Amino acid sequence: MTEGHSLKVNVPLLARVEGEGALDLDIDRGQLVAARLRIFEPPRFFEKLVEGRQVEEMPDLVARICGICPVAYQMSAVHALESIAGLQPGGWVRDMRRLLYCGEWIESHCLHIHLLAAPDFLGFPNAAAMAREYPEEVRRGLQLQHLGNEIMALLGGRSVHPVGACIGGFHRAPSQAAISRLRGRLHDAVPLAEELVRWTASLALPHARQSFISVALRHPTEYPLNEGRIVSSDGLDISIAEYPEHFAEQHRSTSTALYSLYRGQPYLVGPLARLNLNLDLLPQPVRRNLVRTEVPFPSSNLYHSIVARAVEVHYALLEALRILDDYRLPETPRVEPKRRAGVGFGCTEAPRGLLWQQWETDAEGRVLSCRIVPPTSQNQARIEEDLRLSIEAAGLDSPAETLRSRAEAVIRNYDPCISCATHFLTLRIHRTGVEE
Amino acid sequence: MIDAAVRIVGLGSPHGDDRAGWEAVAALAAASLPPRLELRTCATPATDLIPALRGATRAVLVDAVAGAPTGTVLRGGRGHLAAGRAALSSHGVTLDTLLDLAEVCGALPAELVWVGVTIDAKRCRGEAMSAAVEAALPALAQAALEEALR
Repeated sequence: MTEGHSLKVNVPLLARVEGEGALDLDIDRGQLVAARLRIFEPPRFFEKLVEGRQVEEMPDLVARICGICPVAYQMSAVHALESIAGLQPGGWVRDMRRLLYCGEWIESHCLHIHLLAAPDFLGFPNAAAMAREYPEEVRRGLQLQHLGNEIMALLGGRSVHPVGACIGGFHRAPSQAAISRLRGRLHDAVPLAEELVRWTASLALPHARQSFISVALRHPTEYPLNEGRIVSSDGLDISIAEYPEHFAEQHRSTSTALYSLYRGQPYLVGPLARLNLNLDLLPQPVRRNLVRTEVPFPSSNLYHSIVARAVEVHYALLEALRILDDYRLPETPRVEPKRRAGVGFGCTEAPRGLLWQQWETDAEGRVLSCRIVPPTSQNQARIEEDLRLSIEAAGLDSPAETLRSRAEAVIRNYDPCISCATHFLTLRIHRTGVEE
Repeated sequence: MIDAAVRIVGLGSPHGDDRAGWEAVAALAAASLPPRLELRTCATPATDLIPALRGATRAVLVDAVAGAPTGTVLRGGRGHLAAGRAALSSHGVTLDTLLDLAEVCGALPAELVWVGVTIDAKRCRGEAMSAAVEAALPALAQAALEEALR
């Protein structure tokens, strides 16, 4: 096809359990004029649902927002609500929260690497087909993923929608025996995580450099999980309370999801952005292993996200071991919650990126308002920008199946939290303006 | 008489009728069962299913099935499951893909069947189950037991 073509790629909405999603690509006379990723979320039901309820209910409630990253929602909420009450839970709770988060990172990243990303780079239609050719790699991934689950179950009581965390700390402390059993298994898995990083770096990843702004938390002394300032690759350095002054969410008529923009521009959150901005805070063993791969970081290649995820699996495993090595039973696993009127902010690093929350409570501990900005809405404008660039790079004259595959790979790379049963794109193509 | 490891695995989530698989397994846990019959629940299949199947020679998956009329108990084999495609996000990994992965990893039981109860997938809010699905739970649990002992 040549310039005279107009092409409309339309992905119709499909019924799904928790919402709907669709991708529209409009190609007119050889130019891509629009790429709209329509993620239909239940429109922020949670933000209204929690109003008037007691703050003590919030950790269990917000864990229901996402089955893959419940800890992230819990951690941002407890930090915000504790800041209102002036609670300082102390070092044991701080460590256990990092440990819990490590479990979620390991689980979520391993799932993404092996079931979503790697099949794209190795040319397989799905994870099952890849597993037939790469059984050892898949077994390794599932083993690591299961360890992440075990960490979450240790502290959360269960790995899905965990219920162990509360305002002030945890409902109970794990026993020394349970800690020892898990520590042994994590220790044995360290070589697997090192191999995982090297394997992802050895994949034939596309050379797709793009210009984008990375945004992540940054802590003075540690790779960020629960605490830090919000920094960006163009020099932003703000407290989490200042977030609304620099980032704004927009409604669009085509979607119930919100689009976040940083000073009016798309931006990237997630593993690649985190690693780009916190490379110097990785422990030496993790850095050494990464340097040997010769994958350059900071990176502007979005497809290096798979390597960043593997690096964070390695980091989270070592960080979990560090915490378990120092484990001691506390006198109490939580400090007593207090109730106070005020506004508080929480911002933590979910597997998919920055998760920012703002809560307001009254003196009786009732929630007056809540605002939750998940990573997917922050990445949405960036995904659309990436789709435009990637579809153009693929060639607008490419067959529909090629465009669909490319678009799917781009979306998968961000792992948007669209919690959907619509798990593939069906394209309907209308061609107009055929050349003479 | 069971002479090999047979497992009933309840799949579900805490959301309304999607609890059906868990509730059926909970009902069986309260009953008197043959010693080699093991019960498991699975909340996030993408992460939990393969470990739940590993080591079993026969497995019965118990799950909610989108369909109508609500509360109908169905049975089937792997061939009845929708073929897995590449997922767009971690939330979209299908049961069929996971069973393929289990096979590759040597964790797929030699015999695998499923029993399910039809639910209205749009009504999975809150913890409460619909009356129709709740009423079908004894039949769902019985079907799972029959398939396990078959």
